[in-house]
This record gives sequence, C-alpha cells and structure tokens, in this order.
Amino acid sequence: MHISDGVLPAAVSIGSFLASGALAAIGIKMTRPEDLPKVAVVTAAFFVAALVHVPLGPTSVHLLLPGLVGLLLGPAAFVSIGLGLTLQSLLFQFGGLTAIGANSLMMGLPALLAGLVFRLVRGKSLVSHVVAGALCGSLGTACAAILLAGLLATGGESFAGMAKLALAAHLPVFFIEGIISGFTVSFLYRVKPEMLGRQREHR
Amino acid sequence: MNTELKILFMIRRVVGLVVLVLALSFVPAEMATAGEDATAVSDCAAVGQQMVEANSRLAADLRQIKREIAALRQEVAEPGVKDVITGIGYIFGLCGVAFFVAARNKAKDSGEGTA
Repeated sequence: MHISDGVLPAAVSIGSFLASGALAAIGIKMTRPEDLPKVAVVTAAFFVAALVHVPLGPTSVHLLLPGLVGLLLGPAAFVSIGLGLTLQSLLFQFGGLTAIGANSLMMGLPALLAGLVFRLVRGKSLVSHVVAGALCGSLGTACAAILLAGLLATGGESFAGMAKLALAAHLPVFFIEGIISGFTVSFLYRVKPEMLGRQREHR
Repeated sequence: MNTELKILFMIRRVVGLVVLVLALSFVPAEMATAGEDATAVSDCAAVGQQMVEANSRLAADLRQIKREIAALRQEVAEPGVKDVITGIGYIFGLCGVAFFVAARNKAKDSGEGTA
C-alpha cells in the first residue's frame, strides 16, 4: 500500500513533504515528554505491523494500523507514523524515499482523524470503547485507502485503474483492522486505561 | 632369339599380372571408401541430431536456473529479523534522545525557576 518512487508527479511529492513536515512539527510540539515511551512502543508496533500479511486470493496485503496508532496517540500520531514509514522505506524497501511525504500524509491524516473521532465517540463503558475502537480502526484504514486512490490518481490516467484496485483489495484489511483495534482497546481498557487517552490519565 | 622372345613374353606376363593385382586391389579400396563415405555421412547426421538434442536440454536447464535465480533474488530482498531489530532500535533510540532533551529542558526551566 506504500507508494513507490516515480509514481507521483514532483509537485505532489514536494508539496506532501512540506505538509508532512509542518504537521510533524505541530505534532512534536503537542507531545508531552511523559508520552514518549508510549509513542515509542506504538511506533514500533506500527513499524512491524507491515510484515503481517493477510492472504487475499493469489496475493496478500499487509496490515497498516493507522487507525490504532491514531486512537492511541492523538496528535503525536503523525510523527509516529512518519518515523515508522521512513524506517520502513529505508530498511524494508516498502515505498520509495521520494514518496515518504505522500505516504505520511496518506496514513497520518487518517490517524489524526481516527484519534479525533475516538475521543469524540468513545463514551464511558467498555462496550462503547470497544465499538468506538473498532470503528476508528476501520475508519483509519478506509480513509488511508481513499487517500491512496486520490494520490495515485494524481499520477495520471494510467494509475486510476490501479487506484480502484487498491481500494477493492483492502476491503478485508478494513475488517481485520477493525477487529484488531477493538480487541486492543478492550484489553487496554481493562489492563491499563491510562494508555487510552490523555483525559483518562488526568483522572 | 627364342630365349630373348621368351624373356620378353615372361616380362610381359609378369607386368600384366602386376597390373592385374594392382587393379584388383584398388577396386575393393574404392568400394570401401565409398562405404566409409556413406557411413560418414550418416554419422554426421546422427551427431548433428545429438547436438540439437543436447542444446535443447541445456536450454531447459538454463531456464530452470534463471527461474531459481529470480526466486532467490526475491527471497533475499524480503525484510528479515535483522531489519526489524534495526528499526525498533532506531525508534527507541530517537525517542530516548527526545526524552533526554525534554528532561534537560525541564530541569533547566525548573532550575532557572528556583534560581
């Protein structure tokens, strides 16, 4: 799902680098030092998640987890995803170096959105948290797929067909990520509620 | 004169015999070389056929090897445990540096505050 080198026009690539840089700077400012261990662990999980393959007929897609990162980290999610994507590009060769800005936007914006929605929707009980978690997990991946289709469409007509394919191919990933996010939120709610949001840490 | 004539006739007979023997010895030789030519031609065709078959077997082997090289290349390019550990190390290291800087700034702020 990562965009490779040479797909995007130069203007889109440079523009997305600038936008990602700005959002990352804002994210760094908004991160408190006490959150840094949580950021590190969640970034590591996001980094490794791309290695988990979901078989889909003849090929397979991999887990993305932008929704989960967003709902756990809030504003720091953009930095976390940017760092995770950079390391994936350098070490795993997932996605091109010139496309890191676009990939960060593609996954970081849905993460921020998922974080916002989770904080708005989550309610107080375990069930509402789990439902909100599953919803935001799927929402994050869905928005990432939509952004991927949009970014690929800027690459020209030849990529529009691939964009539709990308959307269709990630449908099982939406469901699986929703389930994973739901389970994670349920586990954290019972074991370590402080991880689920800054509001709970203040209580 | 009779003896000379006799000697001449004898020489003529001997020469005739020699010529006959030589002629006879050449004829089978010619037939033999003709036969060898025939077998040589059929050997050429057989050898050519064998070469063609060997070439096609070699081509099949080369195709097999090329397929194996492509599969090996893909296997080598997969991310391994080493890369995972590297990435996690980088993440924890960078967050550690950030934590250190933040803590030092906080200590500096509180130090200046109390001073």
